[in-house]
Amino acid sequence: MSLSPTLPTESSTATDTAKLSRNHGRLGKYLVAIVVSLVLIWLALGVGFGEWSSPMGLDETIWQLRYPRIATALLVGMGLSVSGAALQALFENPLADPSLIGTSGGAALGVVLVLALGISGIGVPLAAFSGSVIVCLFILAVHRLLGGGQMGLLILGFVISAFCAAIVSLILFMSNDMVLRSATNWLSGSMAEAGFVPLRYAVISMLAGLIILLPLGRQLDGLMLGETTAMSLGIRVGAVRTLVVVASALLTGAAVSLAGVIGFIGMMIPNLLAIIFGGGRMRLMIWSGWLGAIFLLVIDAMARHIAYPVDVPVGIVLALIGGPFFIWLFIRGKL
Amino acid sequence: MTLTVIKPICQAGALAVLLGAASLSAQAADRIVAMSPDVADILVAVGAANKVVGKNAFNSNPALKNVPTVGMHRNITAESVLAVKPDLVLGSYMVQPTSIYQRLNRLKIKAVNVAPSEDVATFAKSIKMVGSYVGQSRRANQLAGRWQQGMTPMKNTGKRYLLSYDGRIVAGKGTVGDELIRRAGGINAANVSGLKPLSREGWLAAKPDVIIIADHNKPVIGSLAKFRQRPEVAASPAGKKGQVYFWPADEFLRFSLNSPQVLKKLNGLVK
Repeated sequence: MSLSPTLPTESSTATDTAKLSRNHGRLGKYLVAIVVSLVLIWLALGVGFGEWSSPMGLDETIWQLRYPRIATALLVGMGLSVSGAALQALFENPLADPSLIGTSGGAALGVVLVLALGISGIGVPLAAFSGSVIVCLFILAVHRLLGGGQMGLLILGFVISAFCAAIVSLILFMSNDMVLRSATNWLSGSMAEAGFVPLRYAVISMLAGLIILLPLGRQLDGLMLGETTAMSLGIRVGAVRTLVVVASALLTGAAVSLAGVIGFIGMMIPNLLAIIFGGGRMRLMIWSGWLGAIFLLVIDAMARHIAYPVDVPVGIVLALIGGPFFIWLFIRGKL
Repeated sequence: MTLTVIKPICQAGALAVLLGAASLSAQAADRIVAMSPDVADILVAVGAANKVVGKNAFNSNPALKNVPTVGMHRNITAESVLAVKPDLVLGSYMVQPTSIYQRLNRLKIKAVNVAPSEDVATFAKSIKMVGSYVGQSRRANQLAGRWQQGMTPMKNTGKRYLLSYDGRIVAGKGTVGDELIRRAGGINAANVSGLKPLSREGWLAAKPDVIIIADHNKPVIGSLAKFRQRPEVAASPAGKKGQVYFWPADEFLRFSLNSPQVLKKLNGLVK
């Protein structure tokens, strides 16, 4: 063993240079993302009272109203998009979104129960989170009992979500008109509750979800080749499926507890990035989280500005964008 | 000359036909279904509670406690109404679907929408109409007169009110709440039309002196103290002076026989 340093060969120098330039490229992308994020946050902070004014001059009351809304939009957009990216890989389906594992149905059921029956002692956000996670775990438990693989999970998610939606409709039908109005607003997905819900609980839940989900990127790439291939690659499909569903429930449950049921973003953002940039699932999840956060922030700020003083639920705006996006996706032959 | 003679004769004839129809309906109306809560309350007030054989599920009038329900006014079916064998069915704009009146009439059951719209004049007229259908015109006319008098606009106080369903949705221009505020001498601080969710910055800009929220939303909001801690409420004159209240939704989101008392109550909140 020689103590003298080994001289680099020509090929290893070329590899190192390529690696270095790749790292620089990656660093550049991250820097651009950070700068873009900061600029957009700055601009969104200035939106209010139907105009834009510099966030430097905000008084304390307005600051208390705006910063939780910005933080909520970023968290919700990130949570839904990351779980959307993971679930699309899990179900090998570009149309998959967090609602497929019962999170939206469960959250809606929890909230409507609180609103319509006036159950005190449990807040709307807690009801949303609990409903979301309980229904999701129920789907997992039934799937474990009945089996059926990936298709079985998909069918169970669809059926149990539809069942939850039916109960929600029944409760609303039995309620008086004004409960219906309030529930409709919540079910449309809105940032209006930002600031009333302590962000720390949602952040903890989302962090737990991310910690479980992000290391599973390689396994999800394997799953996208089909269950049989994934198993032949040594991936423990059942365990990965359970972990992805639980992590997605933690991310989505926290998101719905903050802003109600917001559709389309979890489907749109990962698809958009997969079409434009492609790449592995872990990378896709990270960039989906970033773009989802920024996208929801911008849409909410625009809705706030245009509709002031009415608080248009951002879920309605996203659904309006989501429809044409579906058509675009269809035209591209991705369906 | 001929025309001047014929015209009053025709008018008198038409009036006689209308009165005849009214008296005929009054004679026939012994089994009445009140499809909406506003009409049920009027029937009770004009002394016709004993004629009511069917009511909607959300009616809470104690005089009709033992009357069977015919469904919810939001989605009422002809079959459930027919089941109680009525000879007259009364309702208002609150009844859905609105085609129910037409459907019942086609089935030879007299069904009348006594208040097709939500305004002061129509509500007063609906009291008189209900009275005429149950043979209590004199009593109903007196009641309608007192009600209209009670709804006379009060002196302008310049105070700004925000009537809200849940601390978010507010009664904007063109709503019953808006009418009640203006008649109570106040200013509607909600700068929107209809019942709309107001942004939190919209709440801040509204600067209300008085905030009223529907009381059945207490479990959702928490408590008044908690609501008053919201930055946009704490910064408002209402928040600073403690002028934030829970009221029953029916008092400020629809007209009722109690509306004149609601006006006084609203006006009395001015400090």
